[in-house]
Amino acid sequence: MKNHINHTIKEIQHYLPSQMTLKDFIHHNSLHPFQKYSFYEGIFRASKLFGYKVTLQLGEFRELFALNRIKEKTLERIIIERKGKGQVQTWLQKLLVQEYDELISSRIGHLRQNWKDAYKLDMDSLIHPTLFRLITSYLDQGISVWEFLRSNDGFLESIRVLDQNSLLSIFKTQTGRALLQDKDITIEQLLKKIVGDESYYEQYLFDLCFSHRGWSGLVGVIEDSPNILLLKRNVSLHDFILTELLMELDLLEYKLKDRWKPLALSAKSSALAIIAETPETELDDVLRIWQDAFEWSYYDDIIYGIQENFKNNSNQISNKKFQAVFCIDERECSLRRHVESVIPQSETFGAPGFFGVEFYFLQQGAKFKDKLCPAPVTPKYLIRENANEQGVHKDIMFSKKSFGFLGSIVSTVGLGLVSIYKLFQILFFPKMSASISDAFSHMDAESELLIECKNPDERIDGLQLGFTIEEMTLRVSNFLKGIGLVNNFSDLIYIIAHGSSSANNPHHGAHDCGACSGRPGSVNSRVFCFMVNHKEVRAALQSNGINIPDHVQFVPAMHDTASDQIRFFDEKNLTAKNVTAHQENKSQLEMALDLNAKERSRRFASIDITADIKKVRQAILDRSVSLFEPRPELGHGTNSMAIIGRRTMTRGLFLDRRAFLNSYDYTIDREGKILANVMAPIGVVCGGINLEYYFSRVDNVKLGCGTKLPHNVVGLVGVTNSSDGDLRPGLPWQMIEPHDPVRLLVIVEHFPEVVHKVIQTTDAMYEWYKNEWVHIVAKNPETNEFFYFKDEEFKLYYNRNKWYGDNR
Amino acid sequence: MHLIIILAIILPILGFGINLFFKNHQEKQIALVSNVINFTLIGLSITSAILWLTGNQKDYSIYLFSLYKSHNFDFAATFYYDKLTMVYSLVASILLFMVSVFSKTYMHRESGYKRFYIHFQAFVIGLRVLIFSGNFEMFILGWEIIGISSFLLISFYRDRFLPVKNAMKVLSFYRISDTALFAGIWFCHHLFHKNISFIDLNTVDYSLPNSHYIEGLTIGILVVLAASIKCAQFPFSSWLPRALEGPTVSSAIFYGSLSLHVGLFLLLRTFPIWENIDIIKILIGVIGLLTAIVSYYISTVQSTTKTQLAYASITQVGLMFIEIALGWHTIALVHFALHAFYRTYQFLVSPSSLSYLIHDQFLHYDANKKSAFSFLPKKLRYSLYTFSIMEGYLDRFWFYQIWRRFKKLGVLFNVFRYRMWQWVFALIFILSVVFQHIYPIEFFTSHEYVPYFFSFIALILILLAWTERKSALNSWINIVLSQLFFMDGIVHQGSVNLIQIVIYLTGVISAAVIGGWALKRVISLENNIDLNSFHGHIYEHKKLGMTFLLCSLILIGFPISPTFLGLDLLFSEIEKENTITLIISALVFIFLELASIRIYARVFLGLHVKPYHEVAFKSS
Repeated sequence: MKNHINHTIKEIQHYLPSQMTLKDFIHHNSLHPFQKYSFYEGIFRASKLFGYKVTLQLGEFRELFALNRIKEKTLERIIIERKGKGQVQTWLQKLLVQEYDELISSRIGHLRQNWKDAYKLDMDSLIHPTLFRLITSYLDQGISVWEFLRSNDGFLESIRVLDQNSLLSIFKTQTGRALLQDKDITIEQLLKKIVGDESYYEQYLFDLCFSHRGWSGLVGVIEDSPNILLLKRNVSLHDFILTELLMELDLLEYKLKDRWKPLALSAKSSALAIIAETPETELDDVLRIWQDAFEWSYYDDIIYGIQENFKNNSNQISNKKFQAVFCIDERECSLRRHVESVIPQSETFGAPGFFGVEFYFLQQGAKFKDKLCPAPVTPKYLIRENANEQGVHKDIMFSKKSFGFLGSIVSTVGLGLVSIYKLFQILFFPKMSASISDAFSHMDAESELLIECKNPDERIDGLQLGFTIEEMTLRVSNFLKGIGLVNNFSDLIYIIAHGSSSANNPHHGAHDCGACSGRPGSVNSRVFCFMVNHKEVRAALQSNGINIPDHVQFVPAMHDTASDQIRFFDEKNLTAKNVTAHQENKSQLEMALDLNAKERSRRFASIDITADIKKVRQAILDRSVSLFEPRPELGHGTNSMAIIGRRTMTRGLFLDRRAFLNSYDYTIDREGKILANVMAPIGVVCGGINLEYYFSRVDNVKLGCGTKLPHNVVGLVGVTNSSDGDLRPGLPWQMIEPHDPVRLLVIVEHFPEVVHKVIQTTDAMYEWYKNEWVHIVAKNPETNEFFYFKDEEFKLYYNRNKWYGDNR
Repeated sequence: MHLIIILAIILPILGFGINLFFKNHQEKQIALVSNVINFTLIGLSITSAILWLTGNQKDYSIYLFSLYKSHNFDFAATFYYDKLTMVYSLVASILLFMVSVFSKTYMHRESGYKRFYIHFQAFVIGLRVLIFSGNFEMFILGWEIIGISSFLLISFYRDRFLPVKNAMKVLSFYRISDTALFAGIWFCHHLFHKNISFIDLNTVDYSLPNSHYIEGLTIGILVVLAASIKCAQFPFSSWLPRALEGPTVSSAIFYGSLSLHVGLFLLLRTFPIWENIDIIKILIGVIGLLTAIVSYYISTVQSTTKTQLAYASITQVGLMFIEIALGWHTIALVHFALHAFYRTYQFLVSPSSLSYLIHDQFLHYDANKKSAFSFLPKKLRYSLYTFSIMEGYLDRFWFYQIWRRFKKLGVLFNVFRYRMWQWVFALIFILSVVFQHIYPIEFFTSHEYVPYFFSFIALILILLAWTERKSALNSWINIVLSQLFFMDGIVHQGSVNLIQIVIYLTGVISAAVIGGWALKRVISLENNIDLNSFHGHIYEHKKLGMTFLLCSLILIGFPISPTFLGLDLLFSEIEKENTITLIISALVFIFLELASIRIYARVFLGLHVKPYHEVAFKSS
């Protein structure tokens, strides 16, 4: 039985949200547990089991159709594909006219509802506030002045010790207190008392955990990876459930005394298996067709555009002024286009923004280290910062003194005076301050980074201090080959990381670089440039077939995607000749940034885009430091494709900031060996981002975290809506609002058979494509034909250019 | 000066009116109106302050017009200006303007943009009226508007469960406070045999002769009760953290700064009444001290930004209570003003705390730092911690010890729940009217227990309505009947004239009929609606919801309705000796609002029962 309970808990944990604490915002598929099914099967199953809304509403699709955003021809094609030629009229009628019952139901909560039905007892309302307060205080990373009196043996044990030593109790009855102190008490025993009948246990536990899926989910995540917290906390879902059951029993004893019986006796139906097969409905089919038609109405245009664009682009740029490597992030897509249009003799590349160097970073004077690489990677290296002075980071307005007692009067009065000034300042003259999360403050620009490993045996926390020449060479060589930059180097090559500054934004991590675990990538770009500029590394690279001339210099930089500013680092290392060129490039990049800001501004209703471009730029900059601005930028909103290939496919093409662009040159990798590395993060990172936006958009209040405006920061681990509410995982409404929920379309420039082989490298990677959680298309680089992957094979993509002529 | 003060009242009403005509998407216009009005109010506040300071600094009073006048009662629109008005008006106008500007962008594209500004401007009106009020009638007008706009902003996210639940919770506290204030005013009427204006209060000697010591004391206690609840003082503190459900901006302005300090204003305003009663001063001091200590400890253990700020604010207000008790009024005013600015700022930047404090931990965390209060003996430390983490057990206390007892009382009268009884009661009411006014019968007009009987029926009916779980319509009918009996009970008391009754009845009957119609309409569209849970029908029936809310407000005597005037008049007619009637009336008065707003909340607010669209989880 004990095993059975543990098994159930494991299963529950699997289905709970797995979002980390907000400090490490890692995008992931919100319905990850269903990824083993094909997309539609998975989402409709999730909907019927847990009550999520998983597509747009029927009415919304019909509206899109009326706007011609879903095209009639595409719709008809999808119907033919799915239902056969003769069925078009029947299904059009269903899709466009027929009324369906769209009520979404859930299998969760039916059993525990009986407390209310039979005993008029709203268990959750009475227990949640206390339970949440306890777990928040226990996990708290630095809000409270008086920390939870925790003991080392975990959450439950801490409550036990607290209760033991206190004259007052969290519990209401002596029975409850006594049970708490019984160290041998098990979940099973408690269920026996509360529920009674074994067959209901599983359902009861599901009901219990999912009545506050936010907290249950976070507890599970911390149990699995305790290192995500700065201050370690020992929690487990098991303890959390046990605590709640104890509180339930206590409440029953207190409120109903002897007037209650185990819940199984008042259950109206027999036990319901939560995870079970779900019936398919016609509505599912209708939504499926709509979603497909919505996606393809868009994809068709994209593929057509790329096909045409490729024909017009020549491969060679002569007399290059500079090259620049950006993150694959779709927010850089527009900036790259503007850079190339302002400076035609420039060439840009895209690569995951950690630039192939994975490490922990220890800021000068910091007590903790930051992981700067994709979430699944565990680095073995530590990079330390050596700055002249410790970064000053203090804002008296956050002083905890005002929470004191008598002294608080003095600080209240003093800071009250300051606040009058501050309030005016934040309203009318917004500027950067310590309370705003500044992407550039992650690292001191003037500091020295200790990158080269002098002694491989010297370690801190088991981490090697820096990289050896050999390790550097390997990383640089892999990186350059990955993006196909192995010859034709220009004198200056910019490595441009990105981060995002925003004010009053607990979700700021979601705007930073996903390849750096939700942090700005400035350190990575400096580390990479140090490596590639290193004489010994260059020498070693030669033996790898990469010959970088001595006068070529790599320059680290970072782009703030919210304020649209670029700052360069280590400029002092530039040679005299390069300095002149660099100054000129800088002023031209400014123009590109102006244009980029202008392009972005069209999505912000509050900016007058007809104004002078410098004014628009200033308005964009102001957003990033305005405390009253809930949309400093729109993050990954509208992302919809990932393009892996040479820039010639996309150069000059307007992709509307919707494409992740990863540079890759098939000509140096005919067998796809490098491609396997390039493709490894596409599903999990780009697909993860895409699906998180998808689900937060289609059900913003269940899978997203709703509007930001009432959010309350709890324990520095997450946000809730109020003092008594559950933790809210997912993305806020302000981020997903302009997002169209379409799946990611991955376009790879390589032969279909190579791509097919590559995506099968690991099962985890293959699952994304096989189950259609992302679409993938291979572009034959020689014939310019496209192949769409469906039912585990690449099939020639029917060129629908013919009907583009008469397309409305 | 005259003009400035009148403008300061009229402008926000104007702004409120104008904004009613805009559509939700006309954000620029809505915000512009609010910003311009609130900016002008700063100008007016500063001008009046300069005029007053450079003038003779004498208290200034305006008698505008009288709504209703009788031999000893004058319901008049009067306004008043003194140092207290000046400080509150200055602080309020600056903060309101700032929050109005902040919200312009902050609320951008929120589906309730217009609703937010409407509620916000209603609050501005309420606050203006309250600050400038020249007598208790005006004061309570402002007080009530603040209360209801508070309720509406807490339940701003009306499609979720917790905001609605907590808004109801806060409303129940506010209602006790309102009732205490009403009762206090009633005592005043009877003590001084007229309704007093604040100018008289400060100029005429109102120190009480010893023979009226008890009355004076009662007034004092009632005023202190009303103020303590509004200021979330001990033991009423637990409502404040639960009120933080609205957008951050509204939390800032209501619970960080202005609304929370309204109780202090009441204390300072009524100071002349209790200045010579030491017990009251001690009471204020003790409440303040207890609050400051208790909420100080509670605030230290809070692990969420907003609740931490909430309890820290309560602590400061507690300290202000002490200052007032000690007679340091100027210090209290300065303390209030700066505290209001400080908390507004802190609330507004509270979402920043995540990145700021994480960064702070990165740079300054000290693993060896001693935990707070580690010097206390273990047993004491652990007990104190438990006490604090349980928020002083206050929420539990109010739920189990107070409200649940009334619920049980309501359940006690379950026999009267049959429809039949409503007919019986209606009949009794008609008979009572007939035999009292049309064909007067001795027994009805003079028997001393008759009024008690009617008041008691009113109480039973309202408790039934408040605990009704099945039919919303039943509950509504009971409320209306209760309201009628309530009046009946009072009318018996004294020499009420016909005009008063007519004024009152117009309000009640029209509201009852229209409200009943709106409810019936929703019920027929959505089948039976029980009151066992929330239904969220506002999603589909916005207009019906609004109609019903307005009707409820009129029915319960919200201070814009004829019912209010009638109620106020009637109240003043209760004889002083009739303490029992007064107590019963007060209870009826509390539950009238709770029961009718409860219907509104359960039928129209909360999670929508038809989840074909996005509906939040109950716990979120």
